[in-house]
Amino acid sequence: MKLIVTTEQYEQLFDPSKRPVEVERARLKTLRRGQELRRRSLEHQQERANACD
Amino acid sequence: MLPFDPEDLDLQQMPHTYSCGAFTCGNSAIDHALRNDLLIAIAEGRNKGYYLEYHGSLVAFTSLRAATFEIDPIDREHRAITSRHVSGIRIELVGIATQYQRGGVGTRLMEEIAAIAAEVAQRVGARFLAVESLPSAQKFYTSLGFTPTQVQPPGTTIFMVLDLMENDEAA
Repeated sequence: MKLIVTTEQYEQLFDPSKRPVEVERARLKTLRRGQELRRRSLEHQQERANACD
Repeated sequence: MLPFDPEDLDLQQMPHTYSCGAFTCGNSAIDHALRNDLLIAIAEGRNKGYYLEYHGSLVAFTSLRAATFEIDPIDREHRAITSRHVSGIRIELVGIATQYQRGGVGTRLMEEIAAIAAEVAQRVGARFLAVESLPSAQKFYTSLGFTPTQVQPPGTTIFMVLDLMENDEAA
């Protein structure tokens, strides 16, 4: 997959401190919320598996 | 208004035998890819599929595969400066059932997908989660923290990436 970027985009790709604050805030929020959702999905999966035992 | 809270649905991994029922996302190409290409790719181990269901009906799905990104920065004169190959994960298909669109399902789906991708990144080394977005979906991915990477004329698809690295590791 080939990604063509400007030099500014290239720097932002690898250095969070060069990204707009709102972009970084949205990214971290997505990852944090995702971790919580993942934890719950796996927990429910385990409960279902235990119920079948 | 949805008959459920998207956060109450559990994300599950799609087996290659999954039955999609009457699911349609309104895009016939995606519907066809779900029923044909994706299930074959899952059976062959090339992709992983994930889905949300409500009362046994498919609500939304997506598929992931490992990818290598060749990142080419260009200068103001549009000359390639260098090329860097970085491992990542690519979102290949996304579909939300037409009756459940615009209710937060997509956000819920992508947030957990990002977390799954981040787990992989931490374990084996992968920097970005990438998606080839339609122009109509670009705002949606931007709201999740994805950034556009490709210089393209307006109206065409655009690659967007999400950095999976934790801040204290990123450089």
